[in-house]
Amino acid sequence: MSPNSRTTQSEEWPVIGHEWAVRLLQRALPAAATIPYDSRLSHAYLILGARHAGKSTLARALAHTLLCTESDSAPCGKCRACRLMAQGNHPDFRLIQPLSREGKPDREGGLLRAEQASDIIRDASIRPLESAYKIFLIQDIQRANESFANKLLKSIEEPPDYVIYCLTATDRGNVLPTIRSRCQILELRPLDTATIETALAERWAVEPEQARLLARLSGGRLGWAVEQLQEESMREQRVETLATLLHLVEADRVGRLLYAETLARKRDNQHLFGLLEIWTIWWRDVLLIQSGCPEGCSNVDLLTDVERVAGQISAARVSDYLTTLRRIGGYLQHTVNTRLALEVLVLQMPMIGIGHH
Amino acid sequence: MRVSCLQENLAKGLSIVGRAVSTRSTLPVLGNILLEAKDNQLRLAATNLEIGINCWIGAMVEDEGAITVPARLLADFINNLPPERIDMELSVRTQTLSLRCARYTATIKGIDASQFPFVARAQADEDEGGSMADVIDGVTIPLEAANLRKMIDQVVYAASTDESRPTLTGVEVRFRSNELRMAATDGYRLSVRSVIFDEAIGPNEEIMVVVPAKSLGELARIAADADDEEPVKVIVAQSRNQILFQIPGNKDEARGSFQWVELSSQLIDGRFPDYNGIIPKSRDTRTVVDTAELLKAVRVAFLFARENNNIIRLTVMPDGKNGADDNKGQLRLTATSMEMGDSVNDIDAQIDGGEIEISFNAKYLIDVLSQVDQPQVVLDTTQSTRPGALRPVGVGEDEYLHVIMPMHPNR
Repeated sequence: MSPNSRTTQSEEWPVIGHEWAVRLLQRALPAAATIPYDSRLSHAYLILGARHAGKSTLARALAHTLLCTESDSAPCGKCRACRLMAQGNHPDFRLIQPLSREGKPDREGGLLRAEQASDIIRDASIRPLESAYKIFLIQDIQRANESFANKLLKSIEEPPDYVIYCLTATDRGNVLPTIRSRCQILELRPLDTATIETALAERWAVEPEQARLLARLSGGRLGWAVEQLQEESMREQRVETLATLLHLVEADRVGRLLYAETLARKRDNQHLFGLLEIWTIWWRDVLLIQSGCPEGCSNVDLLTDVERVAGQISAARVSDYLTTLRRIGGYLQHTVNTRLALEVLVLQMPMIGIGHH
Repeated sequence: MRVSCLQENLAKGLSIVGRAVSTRSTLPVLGNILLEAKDNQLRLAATNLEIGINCWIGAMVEDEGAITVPARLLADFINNLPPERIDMELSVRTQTLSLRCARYTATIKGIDASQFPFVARAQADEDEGGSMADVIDGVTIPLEAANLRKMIDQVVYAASTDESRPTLTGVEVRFRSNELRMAATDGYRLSVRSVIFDEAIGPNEEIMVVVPAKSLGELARIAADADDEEPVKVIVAQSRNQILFQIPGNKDEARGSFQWVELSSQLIDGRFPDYNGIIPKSRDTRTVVDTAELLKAVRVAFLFARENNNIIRLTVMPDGKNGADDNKGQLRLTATSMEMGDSVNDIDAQIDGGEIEISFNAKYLIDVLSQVDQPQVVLDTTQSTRPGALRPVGVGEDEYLHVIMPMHPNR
């Protein structure tokens, strides 16, 4: 068989890449919708992977397939169940997200709270309304507070036969072992750049040039690339952040400290994490050029700048700075003085002497 | 869709189905109410996926059609309108509903009716989902609204509110040849109520389901507005795990009425505990007291018991210590609060058996006594550590029974 037969199979599911996980789930599906519970499906899946790696997409595809009333192996896209799923109104599919203090969904700073666990348990005791299954997609289980997790343990271990839990998390280590051990784990790996480039060009009709750039920058996370497409502000942030970077490389200490101060005043941690990510990829490119692997670079649109900087700084200093970037990222996750962290961030950046170019 | 109806009727209908609207849900469409104009009726429907309510009100339908609109907004708007005719028109292209009443007009943005989950109905056309007509493997039994309501009121309060034991948040409903029986318990008290019909009401095999107490509470609320003469129909669809009640409305009354309501509820999965084991089989002391007098005395004692876990002590004194007749004893209720003081109330009682001291939760006593219509109640006890059984005088042993676990006062 040609390698194509695999892709066609997973193409039936609205999931790009992750063929092994799709196949694994497809093989576990019940033979026919008429005998629902006679299957090899697990009662709970824990889907691990980086942000935007496609964890929820995979879970939704599984839910979609199980809820679809017309087809047994993949969602048909036409029946009532599929239409309801598409609009987020299927009564047998639940999406549970971390909530902020005000009760608004907040996947970054929110928590999965004990009340939500009680709701889930109550909900799980009620049979599905329109199909044979009831699927709970609980996003970011690493954001669960302890009582949420503990309340849910029993239900995750032994849910009623019509319930399937899909949990997502970014990192195995952040999930309570008691939860982890009750789930079948699917660990999604980054997609290769070519797959993302093709998908962007074919499904999202992205220009080849931009598709190539986004695919490179995405780090194997299709969802990230798609978000960049949809959010113009995010593309702007990258251009702006890299322009600042180029400026700072040549700036003296005073200029750098001034920038650190303005950045700290914004009090926008999300922005900071974005910045760190963009800078890290850029400095990695510098190191790649210095090591003689220009084909691995991500910022393909800014290669001349990367090459210029690479020529003027030693690889050891770049490597050191990459370590600093990672360390600062770790600091910002915790409660440190943001201003101090940012000052370290800009002061340790390798400097190109003015007039050297 | 083009339809007109009376403001009072629409307001009534919305207040009935509004109770099933989901207040917090991840499905946006569940915050809406479905309006469907068909066969000269307007159907209103709402569901939180656990309870679903359909309400039909009289209407003039010019064009059939359906839409869902935000429940709160619609209800608040309709409630503020004068009691006149409301004209509604749906624009399919924009999915908006225009309403006109007297000199008020409004346009409300809605969600396509096809996005609304099926709300179970006793009968629905083939192309519509949610019909229970094909899945009835249960019973259809006649029961008048007023009786059904009383029956529910007498058991539903005993159900647990603790969500960690889902089964106990429900009421066990059992249909057996000519008997309908409901039972609820929270582990500390048990209420059992049954009705015997003159003729068989269902199939010979027993049907036993656990209905969420909340759903029965809603049913009782709707039944208060129902036609008391006509029977309520019950349909159990065990394969779908649903129960449906069809409640007739006061059709002849022109204003503020509905034609009929169908309330469907998901059933609770899981075995209801076998409560027969905790019903006391024997008694050492039987105390008969006046219901109203006891209720009043408990209420007074409760004032002092609140600070002390609601504990009140009942002392049954058979001899008539206060110089009364032989078979005329006293029931003494004592409540003590460390901070506030104490109270001792005596009421007359007919006592058969020995002296006993037993403590109960005052709230539980108030709950059950408020639901007893008969003038006298019987309290059967054995030991102060064993449950007591309470039941109205003049009612069959199996008809209404309440069992309360005693409390252990710390002395």
